[in-house]
Amino acid sequence: MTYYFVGVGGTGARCLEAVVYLAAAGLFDGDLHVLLIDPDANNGNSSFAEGLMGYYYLVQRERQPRGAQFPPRMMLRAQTAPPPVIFQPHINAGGQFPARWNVQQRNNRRFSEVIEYASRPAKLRNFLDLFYQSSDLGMDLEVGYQGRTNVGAVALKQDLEETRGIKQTGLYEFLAALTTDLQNGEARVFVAGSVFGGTGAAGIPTIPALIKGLDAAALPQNSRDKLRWGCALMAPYFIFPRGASGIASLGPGTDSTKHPVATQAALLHYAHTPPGYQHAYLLGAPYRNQTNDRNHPGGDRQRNLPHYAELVAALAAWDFYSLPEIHSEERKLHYADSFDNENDLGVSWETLPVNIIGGHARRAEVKQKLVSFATFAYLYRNILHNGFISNRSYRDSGMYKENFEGRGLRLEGQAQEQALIALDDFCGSYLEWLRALGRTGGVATPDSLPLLFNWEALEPHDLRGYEQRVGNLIKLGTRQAQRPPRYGSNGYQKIMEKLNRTRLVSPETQSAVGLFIYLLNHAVSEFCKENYDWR
Amino acid sequence: MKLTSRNKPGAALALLATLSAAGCRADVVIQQADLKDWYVSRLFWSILLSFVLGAVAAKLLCRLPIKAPLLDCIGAARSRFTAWLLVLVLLIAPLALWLDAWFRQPFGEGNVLDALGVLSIAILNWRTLVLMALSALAFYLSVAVFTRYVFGGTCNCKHAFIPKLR
Repeated sequence: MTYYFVGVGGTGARCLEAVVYLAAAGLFDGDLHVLLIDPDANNGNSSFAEGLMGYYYLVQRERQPRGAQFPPRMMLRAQTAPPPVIFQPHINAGGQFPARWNVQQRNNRRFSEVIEYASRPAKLRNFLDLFYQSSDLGMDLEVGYQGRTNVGAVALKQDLEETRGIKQTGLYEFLAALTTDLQNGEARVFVAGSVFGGTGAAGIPTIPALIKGLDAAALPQNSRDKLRWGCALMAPYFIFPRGASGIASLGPGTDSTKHPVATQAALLHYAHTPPGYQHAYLLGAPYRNQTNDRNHPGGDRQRNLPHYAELVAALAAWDFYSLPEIHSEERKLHYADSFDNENDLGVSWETLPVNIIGGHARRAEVKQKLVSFATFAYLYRNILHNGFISNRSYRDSGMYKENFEGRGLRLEGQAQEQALIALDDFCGSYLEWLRALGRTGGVATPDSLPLLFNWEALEPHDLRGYEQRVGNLIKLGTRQAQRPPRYGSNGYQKIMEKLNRTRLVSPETQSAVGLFIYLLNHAVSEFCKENYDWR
Repeated sequence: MKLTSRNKPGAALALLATLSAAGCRADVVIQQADLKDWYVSRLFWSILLSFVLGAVAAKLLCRLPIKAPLLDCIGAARSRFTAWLLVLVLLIAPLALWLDAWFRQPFGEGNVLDALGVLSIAILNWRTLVLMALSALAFYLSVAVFTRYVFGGTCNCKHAFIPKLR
């Protein structure tokens, strides 16, 4: 099954980044078709998400073994090896379809030109003046809608409609895939964006309206009924400094102090005119951290630090996709907080919101997959990669001799090296993302539970430092009585032992990099189960 | 010639080989047959002992830690094995042989030799070189077999001594 995800605006791009990490960690059980809608074509957040997906495509196409077997032990039958977990979902059919909405970029396009203000009769212009200030009308749309929902709601819908029939715009491919899927059964679309900004708040009601506006030939009524909608309404969760940064000519600029008021207005509008989502997840943060040290209304320098609220948005998408059944008439609002009797329990594995049905198992799944993938990324990025590329340090290992040599599989070669470099880049981004989550959700309070990760371990260290900390990425026990993981100080040794002792009867893949990723992740997951006492 | 750490073992072997010519004095004092019997019995024991020591060494080598950023400890295992082999062959084997001959005086009644006599007659002999070589071989085979096949399932240097053919 393919799940559809639409990220709208810079916040939507940040949520998409989190979705890609969860997909890489193995949380999604189906493929993804994603679309990033942002009229600010050079936005730093969107460009980063797009680059990240480029790494993902390169790694994901390295096929990992499926249906492999471990050799028999003690005269017993051969055991089937578990299926691969990480980097499994195809996203946009392995990058065949654009993930980013290719807005027909026209430089210096002002909002007044979009609504053809100058050619309108004087009476209508006076009417429009009630809704738009002169700064809104003169706003350059090149860097998005700068927190002006009233501008975005008009301009975005018009731009989307203009591009929906044009190939390679991303939107065309998205709608084509969606309509094809709807012929075969239900399709789920999840939209994420801010309700305090311009693009997101405008886009959230616009996307379902756009689909609704498709003619019956493109999307028949019986297919339309099988469409299910979910959204992450991102309430204010970050701030940035006030003031323009030298590009005031682009428009009125952005001001994070107005976010709460803008949110209230947007939510009031949604209450009066429901956009048609079956499941809405209202997300935010009790304390707003600064995620950018400058005020950039848009453009490539608008690259905000990741925030744990974006992880929660991605978990909301995961929850929506895994709901057993969604009725077309269903309307549900999801929300959660981290407070218990007015005590803030902080951002921890116990307070990350998951669906109450099967909550314990789902929470354990999130924790185990994210920690295991973090260990994989930490190990490969910080310890193994340089040696792999510079002096092929894998050549004498038991892992390589038992599973690669004599089977025609080699990690040497340009294509393999390119995939390993992409893996390294992806792992680096994931670790950087985790570190940033630590900056926003890593503050311990007297009442808080153990935090998501041992943030100190994720900071830069020398090689010995990484070696000592790879088995110590989370804390165990309670805040008052913490206990170290079983292999807290010799984690590297234990993982390597497991890696070198893993042997498959046959590789079941032609990709050496895919086989390596599988073997390393298998060793890491087995290690994590023992190290962190997961049953 | 200046002795360096590289050519020390070679020089020692050359010296031993040269001095083994002194073994001709054994013809004078000790019956050649007695010396041969003694060597054969010592050869058996030294091979057995080397094999047992090899098994112990293999166990220790298998437990060597894997240090980042390496994926194995083959290099460390090989260098440690080489050091142990040299100590065994160049030090322990001739020393044990010398002590055995000196304390036990196995060359028949009347043939009592002092320490220097034992060294010059019984130890500095081509047969000692054979014993050392066979001890080395037994030690290597034992380490190789035990690391690869006996402890192979849990050994960190499984492929260090019998490399897998490419």
